Amino acid sequence: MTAVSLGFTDSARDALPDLLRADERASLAAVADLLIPHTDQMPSGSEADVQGEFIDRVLSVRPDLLDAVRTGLAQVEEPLPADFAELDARGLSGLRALAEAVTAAYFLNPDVAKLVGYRKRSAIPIRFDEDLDDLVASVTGRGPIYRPTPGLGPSHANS
Amino acid sequence: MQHSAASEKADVVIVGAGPAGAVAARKFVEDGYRVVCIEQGDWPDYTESHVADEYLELSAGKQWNPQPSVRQAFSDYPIDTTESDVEPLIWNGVGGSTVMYAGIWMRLMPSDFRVRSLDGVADDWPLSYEDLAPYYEQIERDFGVSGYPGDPAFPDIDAYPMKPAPIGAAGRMMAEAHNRLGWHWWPGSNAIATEDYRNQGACVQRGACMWGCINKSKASPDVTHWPDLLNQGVRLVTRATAQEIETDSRGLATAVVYVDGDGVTRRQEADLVVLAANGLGTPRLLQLSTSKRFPNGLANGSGMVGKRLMMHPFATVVGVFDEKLDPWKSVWGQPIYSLEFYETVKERGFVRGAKWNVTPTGGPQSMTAAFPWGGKSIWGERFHETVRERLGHSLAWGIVAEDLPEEHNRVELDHSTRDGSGLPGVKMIYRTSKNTKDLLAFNVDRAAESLREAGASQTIVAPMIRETGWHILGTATMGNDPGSSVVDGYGRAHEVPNLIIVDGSTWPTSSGMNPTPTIAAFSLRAAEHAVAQRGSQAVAS
Repeated sequence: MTAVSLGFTDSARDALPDLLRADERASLAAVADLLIPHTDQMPSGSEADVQGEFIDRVLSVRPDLLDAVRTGLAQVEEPLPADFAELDARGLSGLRALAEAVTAAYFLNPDVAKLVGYRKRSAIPIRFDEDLDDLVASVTGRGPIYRPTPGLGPSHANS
Repeated sequence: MQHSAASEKADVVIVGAGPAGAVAARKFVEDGYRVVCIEQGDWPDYTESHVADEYLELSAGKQWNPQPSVRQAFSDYPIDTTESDVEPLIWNGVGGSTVMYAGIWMRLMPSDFRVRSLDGVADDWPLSYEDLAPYYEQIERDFGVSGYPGDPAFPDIDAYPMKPAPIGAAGRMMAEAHNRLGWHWWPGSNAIATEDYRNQGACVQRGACMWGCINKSKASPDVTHWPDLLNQGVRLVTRATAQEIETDSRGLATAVVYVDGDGVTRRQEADLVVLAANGLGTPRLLQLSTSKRFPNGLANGSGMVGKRLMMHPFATVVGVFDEKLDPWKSVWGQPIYSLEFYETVKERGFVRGAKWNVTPTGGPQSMTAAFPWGGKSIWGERFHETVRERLGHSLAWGIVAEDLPEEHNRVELDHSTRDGSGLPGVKMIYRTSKNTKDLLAFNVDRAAESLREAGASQTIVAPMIRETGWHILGTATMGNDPGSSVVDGYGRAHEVPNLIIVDGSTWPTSSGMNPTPTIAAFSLRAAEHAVAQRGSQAVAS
């Protein structure tokens, strides 16, 4: 197993070959903005640097996605559509995989993560529920709901 | 290919180091047997887990994906699914598919063992709920199960080893909705330690059980069984692909032939051969084991090897809520479950039923996925709004539907493909029946009703999802009649007295439950029976 597939680290990223060409990154930026546009509250795909650091991070963990990104970008021919609806209408076979890679890159940006309120899972020690007896009281109050093994007792289910 | 001399003879050789194999290995070694286990995969590498970093959802798309055709690990054999409605989900390695399961822990109900007697369809099992109950209790201790005793959907669950995980905001909301509807629900039972327990650490509620539980809270045999079994002297051979079960002139099993990690063909002789290779791997190995005496595959005089494949088609219904639920801040498995629509009610127009469990919907990337949200693109102008609506504000009912056995649903050898050791792959031929589709449609409607009662502003149905074939059952069915079944109620092959099958391929019917507890309990009962019969056991000379 190579260092790259173990997960992203700064040193691993530095060691990566430049996976995408400059023209591919420019194209990725443009497509990213069609997929994820700018709003008053949220940056667009390119504003979140999907085409730079964050697609590299995606590919550091999922090198298998490189082909999907490349294929998707190659299918988006000039002139670029005006919006996502127009892009979607072209029916490109590689769009879904490209969109998923762009989306993953977008949410890896810590500023975006902060805005949506999710970066990663956190450890939450268990505090047991203390009121389960009360909460299940109506369930237990209705009695058994299973059909017993034939010959072993009366049926409880409503069938 | 190189060939090697046989290894030292064992008392028992087990094929498969998942839950069925691990449970059998424990019973045999504790009774003094010399045990060897042949496992085609390797140990899970939790250093590759991303549950604690921001790459969790990305890793679930490849390295920690349960679909062999996506993961494409060295241990995954080719499976042709072009004629199947469902994709099989399997993890081949030490711990088996429990390495990637959610840890949902459900016993079967008594009626599951008596489908013919009660509902007039399929077959009864040659054992009853009561026969299995003491083994469930033992297995629940061995797998570190947490839960809340007293569910009136079962006769006698009086205790669990640990208290249940918190049901969380999402579970509580759905529990209260079901209380208003007068519908059954119960705090979730999970093979997840809620305190430090034997080899398991206390759960820290990352809601990432299926993608490499680094706390080892979730019970999979690589955590709960194998470290101890190795200390007890079980010999575990990893990266070893079983090729054939050899038999002698009397039709008794003599050895498992396997290809090791170096490509060397080896024979492991033993008095007993135990198969625990799951509903695809077990019939595959039987079908590969042809001889003059067994021209149609080993133990296949009934012709049932590979047939009656059941897959538990699975649906989800998602609810989107105004309330902030952050549902991933809990166990992923099942914070709560419902068996309200489990038993047969003939007026519904189908037999049998389904089990539901609340399941979280995940992080931001999951909010854009085709599953469970449907295939409609969400990008463009609606992107931010859609993510905002769903993220932290949604949960799903996962619906496990009972699937009845049909002989045309089957697994066959596929001679057009080869695995890494040169063996043929398998082909699944599986079509979902009308009863199962009707059953799912009814339950999907009721689940939407449940979510609306809880206040959902939207409900989204994923009616039957292809990539959910976790439960692969029925392909070496048990029964009392050697003419229509492969093994008896103790897993012994009718035709090969020293061959025992202990995995889910033995199931005559599928129930609507997550099967691991019953697979494990059955394996323990089968191994215990073999130990008890040791004095009269026929073995190859």
